[in-house]
Amino acid sequence: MRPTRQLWGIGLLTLSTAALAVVFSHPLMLGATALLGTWILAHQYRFYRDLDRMRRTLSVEQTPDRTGLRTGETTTVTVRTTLEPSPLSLTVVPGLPTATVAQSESRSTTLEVDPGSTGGSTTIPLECPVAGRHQFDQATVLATDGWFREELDIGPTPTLTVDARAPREVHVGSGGDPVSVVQGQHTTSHSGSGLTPAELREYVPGDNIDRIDWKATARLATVHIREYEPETDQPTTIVVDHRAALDAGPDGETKLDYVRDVALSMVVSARRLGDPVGLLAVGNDGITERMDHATEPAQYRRIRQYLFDLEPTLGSRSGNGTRNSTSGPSRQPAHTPGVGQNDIAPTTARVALRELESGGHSAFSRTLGPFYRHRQTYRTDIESEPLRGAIRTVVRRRNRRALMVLCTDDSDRVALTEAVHVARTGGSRVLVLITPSVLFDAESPAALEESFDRYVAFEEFRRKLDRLEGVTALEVGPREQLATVLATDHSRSSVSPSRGVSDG
Amino acid sequence: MDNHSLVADLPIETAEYRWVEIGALLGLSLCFWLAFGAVGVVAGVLTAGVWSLFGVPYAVAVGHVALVSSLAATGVGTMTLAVWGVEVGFGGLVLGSVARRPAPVTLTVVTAASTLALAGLVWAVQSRSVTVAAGVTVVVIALACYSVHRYQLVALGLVSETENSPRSETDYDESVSSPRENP
Repeated sequence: MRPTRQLWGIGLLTLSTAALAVVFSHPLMLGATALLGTWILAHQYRFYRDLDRMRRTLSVEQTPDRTGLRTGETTTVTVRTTLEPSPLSLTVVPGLPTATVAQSESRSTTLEVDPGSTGGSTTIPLECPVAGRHQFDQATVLATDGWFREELDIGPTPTLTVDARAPREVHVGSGGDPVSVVQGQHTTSHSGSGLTPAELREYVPGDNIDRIDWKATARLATVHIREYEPETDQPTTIVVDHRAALDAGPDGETKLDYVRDVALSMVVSARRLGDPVGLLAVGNDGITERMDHATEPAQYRRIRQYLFDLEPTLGSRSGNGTRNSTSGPSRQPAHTPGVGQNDIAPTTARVALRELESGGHSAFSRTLGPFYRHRQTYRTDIESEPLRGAIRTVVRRRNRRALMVLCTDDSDRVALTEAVHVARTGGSRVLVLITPSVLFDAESPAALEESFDRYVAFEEFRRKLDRLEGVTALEVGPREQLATVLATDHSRSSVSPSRGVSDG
Repeated sequence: MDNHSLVADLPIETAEYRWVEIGALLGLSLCFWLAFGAVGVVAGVLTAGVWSLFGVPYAVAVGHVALVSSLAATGVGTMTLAVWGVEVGFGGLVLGSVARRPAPVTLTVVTAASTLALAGLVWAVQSRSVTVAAGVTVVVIALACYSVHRYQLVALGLVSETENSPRSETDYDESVSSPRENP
C-alpha cells in the first residue's frame, strides 16, 4: 500500500495543522490534526477492504494465440479480466516474457478497468525473436482508489515455446520410408595386417615368412600363418550443391537447410569412425570450396563450420521474397533489418556495383571493395553445368573405396543423372541425396492435388538413379510435408508411390 | 464465501451520500454563527467554500484556522457549547466523507475509535504542553498508519518471501535428504 501524491498532500496538511497548533499555542488546532489523522486511517482501512474484496473476485488470464511458434513469427496474447464491480481503478500489465517484443505501443499493452466495471480484455501482438521456452510472469494488477495504490501479481503463467528456424523433422529415405544414412563399421572381404586376429591358416608357398605364427606352428606341428582383420577406412567426399535452386522453401527450411542437416550428420558419422572426409561445394558458376580428405579434428570442424555458414549462391527466388547472397558462406544473417530493404533505384544500385567491381575510388568502393572481392572468388569457374564439372575435377583423384555423397535437388534431372554417371566413372560408390522440389513448392490447394503425381514422377527418377550400379539414391525433405503429399490422393493411398512406380 | 454477496453492499460512490457532509457543514456553520456572530458566518462560508473546491481534509484544516482565529478575534472562550458544536460538525464532515459509500461496521468502528482515541490523546496531553501534544499526536498517527500498512501486507500475502527464506544453499536444512540419496 503506497500513498499517492494526493495523500502525501493530506499528510503534509496534517503536519501543518500540528505546526500551527504550536505556532498559535492553541490546543484546539490539534483537533484538526486528530481529525485528519482519522480521515487518513479510515481511508487506509477502506482501501485495504476494497483491495481484499477485489482480489478475491478478480481473475486474470493471459492466453497466447499460439503456444508454439518459430523465431521471428508474430502471435497475439489476449489478456482478459473478470471481477465483481469494485470501487478501485485497475491497470493490468501482462507479464510478457523478457525475450518477446510487443508489437504495439506501450500504452496499448495494458488493460484499464474502470471502477464499477466487471472486466475487460485486450489483445497484444507479440514477436518472438529468441528461440527457447519462455514463461510468462504473472500479470501485475495496479489498483488504486485515488489515495492509495497497490501492486498484485495475479493469474497463471503460460509458456511460449519458440523454435529456431531450422528443419524440424528431416526425412531421409525412399518412397516415403525412412532410411538411415549414418554409416557403421565397414566390411571387407580381404584380410591382411592389422591388430584384430581373424584366422589361422596353413602356410602356402608365396606367403611372407614374417607372418608365420610360431606358437601356432609349434602347437599344430605344421607351419601356420595368422591373418588379421585389416584396418580400413572409407574416404568420403561430400559434394554440396548450393546453387540458387536450393534456395526454394520457407525461410529456415529451404532445400539447402535440409541438405545441410544431412551433410552435417554425415560429417559427424565420419568423425566417429575416423574416416577421412572432404568437401566440395558447388555454386552457380563453379566450385566455391574444396577441402581434400583428411582426418584431423580441425578438418571436421572446418567442414562443419563451412556447412553451417553455407548460403545459396547469387540468385533470386519468388514467393517469400528475394534473397541475395554471394558465393560461399555468408556471415550476414538471413534477415538483417534495414539491409536489402532500402528503396534504392535499380540504376543507382547497378552503377554502385559496377564501380565496386572496377575498384573505384569512392568511399563506397573503398569501404566495401576488400570484402566484395574476397566474397566473389570462385575456386574454379565452370561455365556449363557446374555440378557435373565440379564432380569431374575430383573423380580423377579418387580411389575405389571412396564414397561420394552428392547432396542436391531434382530441379535439373538430366544434369543430375549425368553428374551421377560422372561420379561413377572412378568405380567408387555414390550416395545421392535429393531434395524433391514438390516438397518445397508453396502451392495453392488446387496445385496440391497434382503434388502426388509430381512426387510419383520424382520417385520414378530416384529409382532410376538407384538402379545404377554402385549408386544409392535417397530423398531428403520435410517429413510433415511428405506425409501431406502422400495423403493428398486418397484413392491412390492404398497404392504406395513405390508400388505405383514398380507397377508402371 | 459467496463473492456476489460479498460485494453487493459496495456500490460505487454516489452523490446522495454527500448530503451527510452538507448537513455537517450546515450544522457547523450554524454553530459558527451562534458562537461568533458575523465573524462566524464568514468562517462558515470560508469552510464551505474550501470544502466544495478542495474536499473535506482541506475544509477541516482551513475551518480550524478560522475557528482559532475567530476565538482570538472575538475573545469567546473555548468552553462554549457552540464552539464544541463546531468541532462536532468537523467530526461529522470526516465521518460523512468516509460514509460516501455504505461503510461496513468495522470501518465505522475504526473511524469512530480513531476519532475518540486521538481526541482523547490530544485532551490528555495538551494540558502539559501544546508542543508535546502536537508531537505525540503526529507520531501516534504515523505509527497507526504504518500498522495498518503492515497488517494489509500480511493479510494479503504481499510480504516478500526473500525476507524470511534462506538465501544460500548452506542455509537449507541438511537433515532433509535429497531425492538422490533417498530415491
